[in-house]
Amino acid sequence: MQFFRQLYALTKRNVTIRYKHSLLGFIWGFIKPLLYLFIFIIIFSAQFTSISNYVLYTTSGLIFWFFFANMTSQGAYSIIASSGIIKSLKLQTILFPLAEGMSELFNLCFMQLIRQVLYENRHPDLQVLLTCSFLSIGSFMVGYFIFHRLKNQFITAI
Amino acid sequence: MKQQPVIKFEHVFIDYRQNPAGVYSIKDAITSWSHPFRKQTILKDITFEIMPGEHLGIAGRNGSGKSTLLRAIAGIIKPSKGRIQVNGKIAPILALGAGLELEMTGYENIRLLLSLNGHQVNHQIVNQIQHFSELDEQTLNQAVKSYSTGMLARLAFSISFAHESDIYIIDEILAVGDLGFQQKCIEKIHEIQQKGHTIIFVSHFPAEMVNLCNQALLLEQGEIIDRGSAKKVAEKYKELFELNHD
Repeated sequence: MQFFRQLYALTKRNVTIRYKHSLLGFIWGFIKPLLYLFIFIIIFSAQFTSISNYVLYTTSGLIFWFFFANMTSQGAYSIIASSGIIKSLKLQTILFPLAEGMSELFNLCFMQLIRQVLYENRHPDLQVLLTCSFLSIGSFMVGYFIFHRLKNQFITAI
Repeated sequence: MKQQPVIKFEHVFIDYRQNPAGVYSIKDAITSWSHPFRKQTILKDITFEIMPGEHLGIAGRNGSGKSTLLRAIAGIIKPSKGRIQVNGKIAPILALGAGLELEMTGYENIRLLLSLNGHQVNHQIVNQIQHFSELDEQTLNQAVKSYSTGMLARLAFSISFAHESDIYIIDEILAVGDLGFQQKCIEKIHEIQQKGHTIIFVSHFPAEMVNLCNQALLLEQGEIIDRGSAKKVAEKYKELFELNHD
């Protein structure tokens, strides 16, 4: 119970500080991947005319790639970045990469919603959301186990 | 009936792995077979007990293992050998402002730190913290990065003391804050003492230690060299440095 309360607090912190003092605020987190998507769409959609719905095809892949890439890089850094907290509060170290993963998951859900509304011109249906959540939980677990194994090495590196 | 000690250390050793050479490169890995990390023993064979209601001061020069000892009591690091027994809830105040997020407002930080310490957050406790810290609503709605050092200390100290615990661990944190707040902190400590809770207190000022503690412990290079009444240990602590000057 306490573990989840701590996890929630850390996740909330991650989400808030990421978007806080930037000009566009909360939306900024979604604009960055969207820009990437536009680049992909503009450059490659002319090339791959054989794929019937190129936009949908690209976005469904890229969104998950962003999720995974961000989660692994930030998760790895999170332990070192929060060494001060680890040294002075009684917290399980695994909380920090977990919280990074959770905040990325939050981001992913929003990206999915935007994608559905923008490109498919319909409201999110349950089936797609379920698939997304299963996929995200899968990649999340991978991240979790990687960090659990590397944890001790990270600590000695600090 | 004999009272149970709140904290009991039995022959505790604590080691750290340290990398003496700094960066360990691939070249080193190939050319030398030695392990890059060297084991360093910080605490050697520590054995002591703290009885309930005892106020223990810990003294010792820099690097003698005071902070490590406190972290071991708080359960942040585990001993490599020996046994540590702790009966009671601990409020560790090891570093002021650990976990404070500079970009977030005072209120958000209060909620964050309370949750990180494993407490439930409710309106009442936030109000209590605000009252104790004497910071006004406008300040607490500002980002913490705009606070002065003293204001930060007030906030952090108030959060740490918000919940009642059995054992308080205080690591030389009274040095910041203005006179009024320092007095308030000391009053708070006296209040805790009167309730019969245990306090473990690290200070570099012997006078402060004698004032706040009844028992004390002197550490030197990871070993306890003196344990007894605060007055006696404070004298010994002063002697330690006089010898070095000759």
